Amino acid sequence: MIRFLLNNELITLDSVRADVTVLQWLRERRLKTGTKEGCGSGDCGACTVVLASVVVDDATNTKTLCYESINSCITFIGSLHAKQLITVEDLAEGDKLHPVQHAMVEEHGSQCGFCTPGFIMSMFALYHNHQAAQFSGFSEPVLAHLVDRHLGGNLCRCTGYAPIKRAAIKALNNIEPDQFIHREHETINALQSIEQQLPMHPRFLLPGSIEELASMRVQYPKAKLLAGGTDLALEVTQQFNDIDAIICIKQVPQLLAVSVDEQRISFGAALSLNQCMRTLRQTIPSSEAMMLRFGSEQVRNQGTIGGNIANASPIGDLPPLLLALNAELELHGSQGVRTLNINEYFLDYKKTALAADEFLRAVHIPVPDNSTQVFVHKISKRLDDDISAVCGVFCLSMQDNTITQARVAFGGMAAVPARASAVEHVLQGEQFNEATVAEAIAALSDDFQPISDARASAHYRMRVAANLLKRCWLQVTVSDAAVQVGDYVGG
Amino acid sequence: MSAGKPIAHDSAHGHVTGKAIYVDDIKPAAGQLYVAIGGANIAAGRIESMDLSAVRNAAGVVDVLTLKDLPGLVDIGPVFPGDPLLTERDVSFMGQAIFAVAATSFRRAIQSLRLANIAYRESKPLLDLQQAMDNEVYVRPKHTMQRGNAKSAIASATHKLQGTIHVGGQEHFYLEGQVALAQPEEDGGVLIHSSNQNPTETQHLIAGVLGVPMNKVTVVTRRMGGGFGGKETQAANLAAFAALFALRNQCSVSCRLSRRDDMQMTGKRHAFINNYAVGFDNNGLIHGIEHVLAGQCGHSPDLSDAIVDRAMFHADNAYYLNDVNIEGLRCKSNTVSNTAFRGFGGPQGMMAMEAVIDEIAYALNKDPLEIRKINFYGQAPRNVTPYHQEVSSFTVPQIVAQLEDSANYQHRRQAIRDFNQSSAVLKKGIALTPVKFGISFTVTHLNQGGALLHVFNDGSVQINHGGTEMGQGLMIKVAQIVASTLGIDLQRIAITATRTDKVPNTSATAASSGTDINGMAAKSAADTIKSRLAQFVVESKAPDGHTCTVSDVVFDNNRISLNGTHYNWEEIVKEAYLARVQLSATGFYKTPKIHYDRNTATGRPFLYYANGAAVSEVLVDTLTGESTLLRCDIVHDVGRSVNPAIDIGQIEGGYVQGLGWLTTEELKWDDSGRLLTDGPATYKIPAIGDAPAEFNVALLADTPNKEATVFRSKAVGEPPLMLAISAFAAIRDAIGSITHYQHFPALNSPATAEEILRVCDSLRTKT
Repeated sequence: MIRFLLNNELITLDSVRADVTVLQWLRERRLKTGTKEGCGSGDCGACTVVLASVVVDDATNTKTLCYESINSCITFIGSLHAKQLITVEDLAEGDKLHPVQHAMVEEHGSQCGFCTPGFIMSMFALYHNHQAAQFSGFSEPVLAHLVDRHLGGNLCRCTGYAPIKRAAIKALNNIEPDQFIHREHETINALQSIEQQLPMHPRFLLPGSIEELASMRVQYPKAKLLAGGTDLALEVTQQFNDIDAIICIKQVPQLLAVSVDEQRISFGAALSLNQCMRTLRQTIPSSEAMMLRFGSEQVRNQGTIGGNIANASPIGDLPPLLLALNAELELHGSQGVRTLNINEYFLDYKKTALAADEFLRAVHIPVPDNSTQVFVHKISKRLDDDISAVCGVFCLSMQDNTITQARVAFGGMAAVPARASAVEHVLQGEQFNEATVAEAIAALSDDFQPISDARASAHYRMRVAANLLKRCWLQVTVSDAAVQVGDYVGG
Repeated sequence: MSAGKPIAHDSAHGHVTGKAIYVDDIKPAAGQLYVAIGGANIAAGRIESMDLSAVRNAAGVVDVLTLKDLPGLVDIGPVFPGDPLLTERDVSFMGQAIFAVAATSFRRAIQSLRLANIAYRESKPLLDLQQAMDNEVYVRPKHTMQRGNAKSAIASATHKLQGTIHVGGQEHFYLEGQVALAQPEEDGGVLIHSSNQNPTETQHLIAGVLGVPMNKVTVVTRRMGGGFGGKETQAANLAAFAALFALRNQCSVSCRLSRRDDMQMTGKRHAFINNYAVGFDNNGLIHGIEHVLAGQCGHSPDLSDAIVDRAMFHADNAYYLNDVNIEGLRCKSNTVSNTAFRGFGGPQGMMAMEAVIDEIAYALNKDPLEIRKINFYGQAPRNVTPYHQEVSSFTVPQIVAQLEDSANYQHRRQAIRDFNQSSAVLKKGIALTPVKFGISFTVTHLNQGGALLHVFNDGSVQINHGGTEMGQGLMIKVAQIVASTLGIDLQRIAITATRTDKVPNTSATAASSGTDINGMAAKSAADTIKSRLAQFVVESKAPDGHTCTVSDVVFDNNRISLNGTHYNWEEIVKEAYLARVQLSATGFYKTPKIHYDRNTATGRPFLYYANGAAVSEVLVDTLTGESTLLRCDIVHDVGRSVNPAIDIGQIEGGYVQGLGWLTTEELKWDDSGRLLTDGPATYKIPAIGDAPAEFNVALLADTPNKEATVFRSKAVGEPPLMLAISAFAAIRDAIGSITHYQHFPALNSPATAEEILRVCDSLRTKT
């Protein structure tokens, strides 16, 4: 069964449909209508709620609560297992508004008010994270950027965001412990007592080990594998299809492991994008800017590295990065575990080398050596919370300005995320200069014939892919000057 | 006095706690049904056959409606016919409603739609605006405004140029999609909660559709989760479906659109192609100008006649055009019928004029601001619009002077030119553009408003009026006006839902008129109450032997005072009640002075103009076309503000909404006429990071409206949207640096990264 806290109330669900979303459950079953549906696709944030879960610090064995914003419209109810669900109705204590609510009223941060509950919840998560961050020494250069990042997944059509930014900054500058902090100990105890073994929900399966997951995969071949669900849920909320059975992999400890050594970084497949980013940016700093523009905070909390690879979208943002970094995928099947270079994984549009009985278990990323530069470029219509028109990642090893090895990968240029082998071939062994770049650009058309769609035309995709090569070269040769809008704004 | 104070939105608490109730939040009644609408899968052609038996038999489906089930009116076109509620034969756009289903849940209703078996004979849809222009395929006849002889003035001018600018449409993307909830009442009546800017029009149409008089239909609108014009006419069909099903099944019926259906099935801002030809002298002074403004109306007229008219009314923007010819075309396409959207055509017209100004500046190698200034409306005879209205209390020159200084325009412009010299890839641009926007409905009879004010015998007050709340703060402004008129605290006034059974025959909350019309009507009701109470006080409290008149009675600070003696508000109200004084009043207002003869295109369609100006600075990546807004400074004239916080909110929000329209918001259809950008995953309105990093907004000080508007305020809903044209012009300026400002960048809107790169590439071939 599914068991979680709705604020402080223990909820047990043993017969709910597997494909009921948190938003649907709140609004239709509980008649809690503070949380709104704006799009049903996780792109507007009106339905944002916050999940608190217990985090154990291995070194000290201290337990804290981690607060994460998610889009409730694309989260299946079973994903709440062993978590605390906090909605906009839970923040005020009687007539006393929560500091983030109070700041929004004071700064005139709401007009029509329909997006407001979602903003409040994103601000609430930030409020708690910021409080935690102050203790962990995680420094933020500018508060405004922090606010932009955390609220980038909440659309407002009325205010132009100015008063919302003012409200968020005001609240963050005056943090004081709220009722959730005061109750943290009790909440942790309540959540930990849920984590004890319970009878399995018949249609929302929550394996607790890799072996259990493997056997369920065989036992329930029709059940959908669920990690973050940011893509899978669209089948329910956009296509209006039913999903009868789900195997959720988020409770499998092996899939949530991170390991880093000098040779490689390994990520369990069920790690969220935000969890991956925190590790990745330390080894590959140039990945951070792209990762921060990957979906929204809600999607980065919810979406997983495994999901971004396994759904084989041609426009996922991690695959180009992983292709250029020469990552290895660890696939777990009934015959055992095999390892596959990610370059062999994507076969055709939404087709992969994953066998029916297999699941993606881990991703291993070789750490680039000191002679290697990684350039990560995401181009989209809107800077934040947008899917790439083109995502280009360039991994260039250089000695005395000669390219000793080049791995170049693109998303958005073909039916699958793909390496640009003709471009790589041109670059390899050459001086990194304007002439080489021109030759590499000429080779692009051997690698790709992109399509036109809602995001960009084929012509634009080719032009931009070419210009991204040029941008890399400029970054090397005129590295002092800003050559992209993001540098300038971020700097 | 609460008027003039930056008081929080009356629902702010409700918004931040989730307690504010929107239509879909109303608790479902037992047995409530949910509607889904089955739309056409082709954009043009005919329905050959239709079999809905599988739909009828689907799990949860209770009722199905087709054209032949409609008891009354079929066409719900708001002004002209052309919008059938359901079609059974001709299809003129993708998603056009063919049938509707009521089922036990929203999901069941939607899931049943795919079981429909409909065969079509498809014809080639007309999707291209240029093609409609070329072939003169119109939904309404073309219309012209003119003065003098533009052609000969251009011909004899020292310099002449001509050009074209494409201006894209815009999806409203109100966060709350279209929704209505109908409840049957006795004797064949129905009550509809509707997210709706125009409850009276919906009441009227539903009565027609049901074949009952208007007195059987009540439409209630407490609040909308955003409207922006999208719920002016296009909320009616959902409300009609809900009402029909509610009466047929005698139960509550909810009808709401999924985001995708909302985007596919409801109208948007009109795309325009604007052609211009202009003659000017060495100083950049315009001598003659011709504008052709062609709006893409979609398949039916809806409000397009008035929208294209308003584009024409604003093709001058803030500039005097001596010899002028403005032609407006209402082009047809096999797409959803385009509709009202904040600015109502005005922004598209202004885009043409601001392109003209910039192009003149390039031709003369001058700062566009210089060209703007020299062409501003001025003293007579340079103070008459192309439709022969005199421009009075024109504050644009004053605003521009203030802004040029406060935004440090000249210094920054030079710094940007220096930056561009040394920056190969990234280029900056800056522009200052003005807005002059006409206030009043151009259809004169719509300029009326009503209010109903109750004073209860405990002294509490309830105000109701014809305006609707869509987030713009109308309710709090009207409450402030009433409170200030009666001299009582705002807390004594309850704000209530807009209802057609309280105040009848209202106009849409549109054309920025909400406060002007309804605030004035509410004030008139409050004045009536005030004079009755004053009369009562004079009669009952005048000291013996003194002659007092009602003008001696002072209403202030929750007291009513006469000759230095103060009485509590509650006390007097109670006494007045016991003395049988009527404590309820209606109020009415009709905008004075306005008239317009469309046949000659002359008159005074607007009571006054709202003015403002903005300076925007952008950064453009000439390798990828990405751009970002670095800073925006605005000075805007709202007259004497009723609520500066609310007004600044409208300015900031309008600007960013306009910014989205001109940059990232791109509507794309495929060749079959299907909208490709039908959700926030593909249609990108501004996110928080798109708002300018530095955003300075100031209200023009000490400028009470010269017209006798409510508390001498000025309308503010639509005008600020057009301030974003400065951002578009700034992008043009940044791109222009590629050729050292020698060639005008013929940038179309929206200036997406792709469009910017296209223009950069085309200019690079000229260097």
